[in-house]
Amino acid sequence: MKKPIVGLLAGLILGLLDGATAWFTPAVRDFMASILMGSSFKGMVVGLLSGWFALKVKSVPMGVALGAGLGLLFAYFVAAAPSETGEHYYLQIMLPGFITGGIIGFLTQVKGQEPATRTGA
Amino acid sequence: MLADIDSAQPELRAAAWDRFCEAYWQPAFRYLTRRWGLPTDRAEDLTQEFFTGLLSKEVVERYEPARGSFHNYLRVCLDNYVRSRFTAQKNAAALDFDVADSSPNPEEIFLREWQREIMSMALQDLEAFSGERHKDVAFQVFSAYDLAVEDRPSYEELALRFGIPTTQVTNFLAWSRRELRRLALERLASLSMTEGEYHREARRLFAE
Amino acid sequence: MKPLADPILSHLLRVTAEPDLSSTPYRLAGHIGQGGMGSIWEVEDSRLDRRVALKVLHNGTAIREEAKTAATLEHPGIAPVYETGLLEDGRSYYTMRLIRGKTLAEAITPELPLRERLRLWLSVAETLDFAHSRGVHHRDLKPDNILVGDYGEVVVLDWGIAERNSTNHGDDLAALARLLSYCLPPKAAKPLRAIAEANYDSVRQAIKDVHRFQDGAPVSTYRESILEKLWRWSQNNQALLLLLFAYAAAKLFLVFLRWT
Repeated sequence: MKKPIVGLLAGLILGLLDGATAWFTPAVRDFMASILMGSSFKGMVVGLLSGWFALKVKSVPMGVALGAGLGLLFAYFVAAAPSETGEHYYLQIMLPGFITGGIIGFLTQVKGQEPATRTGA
Repeated sequence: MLADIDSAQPELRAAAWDRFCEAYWQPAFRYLTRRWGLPTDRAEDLTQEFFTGLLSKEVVERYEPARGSFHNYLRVCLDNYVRSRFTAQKNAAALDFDVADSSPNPEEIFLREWQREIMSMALQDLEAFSGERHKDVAFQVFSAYDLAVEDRPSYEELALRFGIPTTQVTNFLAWSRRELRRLALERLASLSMTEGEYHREARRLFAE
Repeated sequence: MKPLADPILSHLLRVTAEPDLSSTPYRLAGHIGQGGMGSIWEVEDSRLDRRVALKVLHNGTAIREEAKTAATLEHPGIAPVYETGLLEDGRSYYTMRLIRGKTLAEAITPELPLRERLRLWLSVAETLDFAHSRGVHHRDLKPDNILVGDYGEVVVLDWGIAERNSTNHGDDLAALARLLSYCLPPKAAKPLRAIAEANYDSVRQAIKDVHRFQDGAPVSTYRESILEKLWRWSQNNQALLLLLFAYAAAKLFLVFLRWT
């Protein structure tokens, strides 16, 4: 399986799981469907980009850093938009999003088919 | 070969026994003095009794080359003989078992004595051989250098002493050592039961 | 005749054991040691101005067979044979590359890390596997017959009782297993001890299992418990575990914040 596909799948699953933890915040329970969709979409984008990066550069620390950075960035975009209740959940979205992005970056580095040639680091 | 010890021909048997006793009597005697701390006269008596006993008990014929070297087998027989003699006579006071048990490796003691005897016999053979080949000077040079008790003379000193070039000293020494080795191996061959044992014992003879 | 004094006896044994190199291009430089079937000397080759190892044995047939066996095996783990010949005293000899270093027995020290111990063992195993592939089995493998050179190279010596055109590698396999036990530290991991105690059909299988252990994969001769499997997985995925732990910690922190 190619690394971008690994990233896509990992992002989807981890995004779903991350989004599902929102259920523990009663205030947003009514909006679980949109949270899950948004979280999994965010995860898939992070996964695809991390997977593409892993094709070019073999470095677990750099992969984790990139994934975490992308996760933080996209989590910010989501958190910046006010929720249906009008509140912003910056910390609740960005902190887990940052770590989930790091996990996705790690998985794209260690799993998936290695390309024939690329830069080592 | 020592396999002649159980030969059907009496002359061969007798010759084999003579070779055997000649080679092992002294090592057995000196082993008894070193390992068991026996006084000279007691050690001589016991050694003689042991060899006489061997002749009648056919101990040598029970030896199996596959189980180890012959001289080690002989040493074990000797140890057992000494223990049984002193235990039977209730004469343990005459023998200090503590000394025997705390002495250096008995196998090494016997090996050393055996090496000493083989090389002594070979030296006698070398002297005789040198005489036959009119190489007396070679033997004298060898004796002066390799048998020196204290400081060895230099090659130049030997050359001066014997009125020969220094290169000749080197040649004489090389010849003598080569012949000594050959004669020692010949002695060993006459004492070995099998070809395999001969090769094993040859390795042991020259291992320090 | 008076018995020979100990110093004279020692001297005579030494000089008669020394090879007579007068008819060879070599000059004696020192005594290296005793091999299984002969003695080994360091000599200087006057033609090429270099030091080589010279092995002497009074059994001529044996030395030629040993030299042939070693010469047919061209491998980094086997000292190359240069030539054979006959000494003035009738003994046969052969010369080979001189390796400066220490025996495996001297190289295995209590402080030696596991990775290096396994490297040494794997080097020996690869050499043996190569020999077996050529139908040769060593039959006298032990720590004293293995040299670790000054550059870290591992060389298997003393092919004196090696058997050619042989398919019976049982002795070597058993010796290799004992060697692995010898190389391992006292508290080695269970899978490694299982490899050392297993009966493999070939050296290659044993090598593969050691590589599996090094890669963090399960070895074929050891049945892991669930806990051991989990532990191995956690050792191989420490970074992932750390990230998952960080995620869980972050979530707990957020829960804590909400409650306070």
